[in-house]
Amino acid sequence: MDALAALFDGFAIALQPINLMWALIGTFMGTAVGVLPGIGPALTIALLLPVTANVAPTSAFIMFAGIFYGAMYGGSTTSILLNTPGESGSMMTALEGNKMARKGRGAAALATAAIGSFVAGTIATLGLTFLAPPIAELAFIFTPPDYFALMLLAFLSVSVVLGASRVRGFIALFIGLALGLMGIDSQSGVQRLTFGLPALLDGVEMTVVLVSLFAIGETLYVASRFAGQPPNLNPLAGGAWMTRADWRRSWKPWLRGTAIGFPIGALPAGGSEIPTFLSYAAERRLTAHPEEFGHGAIEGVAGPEAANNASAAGVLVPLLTLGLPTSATAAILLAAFQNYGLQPGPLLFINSGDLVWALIASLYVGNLMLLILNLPLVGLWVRLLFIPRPYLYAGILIFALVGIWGVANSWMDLAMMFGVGLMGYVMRVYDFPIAPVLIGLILGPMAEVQLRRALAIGQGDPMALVSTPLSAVLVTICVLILVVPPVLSWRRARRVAAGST
Amino acid sequence: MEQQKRPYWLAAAVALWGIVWVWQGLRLPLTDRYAYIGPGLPVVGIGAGLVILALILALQIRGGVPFEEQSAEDVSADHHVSWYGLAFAAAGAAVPMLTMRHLGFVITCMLAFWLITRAFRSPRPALDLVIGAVVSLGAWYLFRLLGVQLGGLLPIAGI
Repeated sequence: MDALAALFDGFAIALQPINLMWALIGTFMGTAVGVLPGIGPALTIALLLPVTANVAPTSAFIMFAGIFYGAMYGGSTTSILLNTPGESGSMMTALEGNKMARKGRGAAALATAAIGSFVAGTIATLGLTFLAPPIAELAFIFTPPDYFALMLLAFLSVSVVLGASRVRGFIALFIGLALGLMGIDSQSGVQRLTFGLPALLDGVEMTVVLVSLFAIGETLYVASRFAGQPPNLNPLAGGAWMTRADWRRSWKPWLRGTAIGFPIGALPAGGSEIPTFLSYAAERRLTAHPEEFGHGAIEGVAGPEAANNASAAGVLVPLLTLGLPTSATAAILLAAFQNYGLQPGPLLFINSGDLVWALIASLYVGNLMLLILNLPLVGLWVRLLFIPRPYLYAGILIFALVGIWGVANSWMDLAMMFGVGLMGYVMRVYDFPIAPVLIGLILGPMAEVQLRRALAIGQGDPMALVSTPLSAVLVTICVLILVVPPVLSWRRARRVAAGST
Repeated sequence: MEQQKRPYWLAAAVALWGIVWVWQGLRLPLTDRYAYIGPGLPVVGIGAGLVILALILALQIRGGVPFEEQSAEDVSADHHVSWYGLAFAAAGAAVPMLTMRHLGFVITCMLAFWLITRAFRSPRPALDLVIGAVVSLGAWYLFRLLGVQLGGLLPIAGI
């Protein structure tokens, strides 16, 4: 097995003391930011990018992987103990987990979430280990039309899946695409949308937009609607750990959650909302204790939590093999790769095989670390929640300034921070999804390159865009995503209208 | 901002953005001899997309589409809006534009830190200023050690 041999080499790198230390730092920070409000994995990695300029890429990515996984463990802690899911993937966990905590079963809920995350993370990492190399091989025969169609699908699914409204999702996507066009056009060397300002020649920095949207937008939003009271914590007391019955009721949901989460995460239409929701619905239907659902059923914690972690590992499949990010965190990871002059995609496995396999190996290591960090230390993490909010958000602003000013010491970036921060505020008030902006910003320029290449190869014939079987299928799916839901709702509306007359 | 029933200005802002992009794009070559798509065409296309989406949004707003504020931790349950908090937080985000180049990273961060603590109605302003100074200086020193370029301590004095 090639993959196995490569994985062992990866372990040899990941288990070096220095890299173990980076993994520990990463998982530690990841758990902390998962617990803390106002700061998530994407933002943390963005803020750390300037710091890692002096760190070897392998070590930096091992740390980022720890943050990526750690944030999900931390997120489940807050949704169970506080009923405040830090990220959309923990929403379902909060439903049952918080009810369990209120009944004094918080310890069991945390345990099934942590062990479920470990099981799912490990199985999904195995999936990544064996699935990524063949997909990367496959990607070699991808032509520009195939890539363009894949990116089109990623654009569509990100804007349609996230958020309540398709129109607002598309507006967010187009804002990202619009920002991505600024700067010197890589193909013709022409300045686009620079408005005569030299600071805009290099285009809009992904880090600046991400930090402004998340950190500044969130700070403005929370400051304007601050609850002003400490969080209402469910006591960990009555700390009955998982009983034998809990184990018996948990292991199947863990596996089912993994089976749902990994494939959906791995699709270009990834994300964590759909798999966690599906897992919750499945457990609700399959449970032997339907009466407990809505009042703290352990299956409703175990399944979605496993699905959440598995989908996170799944998201790494298109990211590493095709260079296709499908979540905000994946988008910033892609930007991190680009910072090091690496381009995720099929060539990454060949040119930087060491790095990729060390990264994958560190996912196994990180998962184990997280289990150890989280089960006994949960009381410590919870204490983070009592940081006074004025200092927490003021501190977040300082780190945002390090991240933004540290990129290029550019005044334009500070102005952008203010402007995009205000936009982030408005987007929260009027419920526009934020991830499509980032996906549009980072994938837009890549899609443009592929589009122009495809047309150049096809001598300007637009049919060249659907000239390969894969691109034809993908474009068809895109059209269906666009057309089918409105047609269905139109027909439903007509039927209702016909019925009422 | 308190939510309006019919926030047409949202659609207007998106449309304006699109119009600027179309206008800028039309000033660039739209076609290209080899790649067929010139540098201007994508700009015009995205701009036109924004305008069309703005029109659809305006129609939705006219039809009374609901806008529900996103939930977040630490946000009050009734989403009561404090203009005081928003103003101070916005000032904290704006102050770096004014002070960063001349007064440097440390003083800028101290001011921004203090303004954010005001936005969150921290009870002890003087203490907040001291904490802000310590955190800012610490962050500046630490990240410089880590190799992040954050500029001098007080650029206007040449330090």
